[in-house]
Amino acid sequence: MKVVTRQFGELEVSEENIIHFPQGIIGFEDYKKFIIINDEDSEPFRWLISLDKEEFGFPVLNPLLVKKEYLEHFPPKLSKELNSKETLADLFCVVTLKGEDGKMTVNLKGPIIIDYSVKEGKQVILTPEELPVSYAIN
Amino acid sequence: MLVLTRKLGENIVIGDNISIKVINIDNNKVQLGIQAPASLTIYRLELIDRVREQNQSAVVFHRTDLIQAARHLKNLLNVRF
Repeated sequence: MKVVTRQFGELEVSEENIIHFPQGIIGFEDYKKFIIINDEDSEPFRWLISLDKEEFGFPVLNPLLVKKEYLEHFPPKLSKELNSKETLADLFCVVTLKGEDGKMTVNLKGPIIIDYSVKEGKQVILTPEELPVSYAIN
Repeated sequence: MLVLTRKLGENIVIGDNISIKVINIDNNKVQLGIQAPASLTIYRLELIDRVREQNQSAVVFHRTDLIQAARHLKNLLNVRF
């Protein structure tokens, strides 16, 4: 299928690359279908782009790049779930860019987990106080 | 909205397997004990609000903005992490 994105213009997306978010993303519960784009120029970021709304896309990042001990804060149930998927799961955090000088924050409170074996994603909320919504990367 | 008055130690029950008990009352704070299936997520509302706001502010329209941020991040990763 062809989709039009604000960031990349028209893209050809095959069904197998679509990740379904049954509950949407927090604040955007109506957006259920996303693709992940690995734009070489933007590595190590990835784009999470909605197929339900043309202009909706945001950068995500593997949180372990900026917070090595991140997984230690996961509740046991979620750690177990992640480990059981091994290479078929991806963990991302939403990134907010702050102006033009390259400053950004990473949302460590609401990671996105993608399970490629069923092509499903979800955003979960982690309660530990040590994990801020806006973790500054300067 | 259903409004119920409960005293210290009293419960309300929602459906078959959720119960909420008033554990402690202290001035304007109420401590609640919640029993519910592990599959249910229970959060303080303001936590969800904060994640929602962050998601909304994260939307980026231009590819060039992220490319610039990526350059910056790569420098940082080499230096700091």
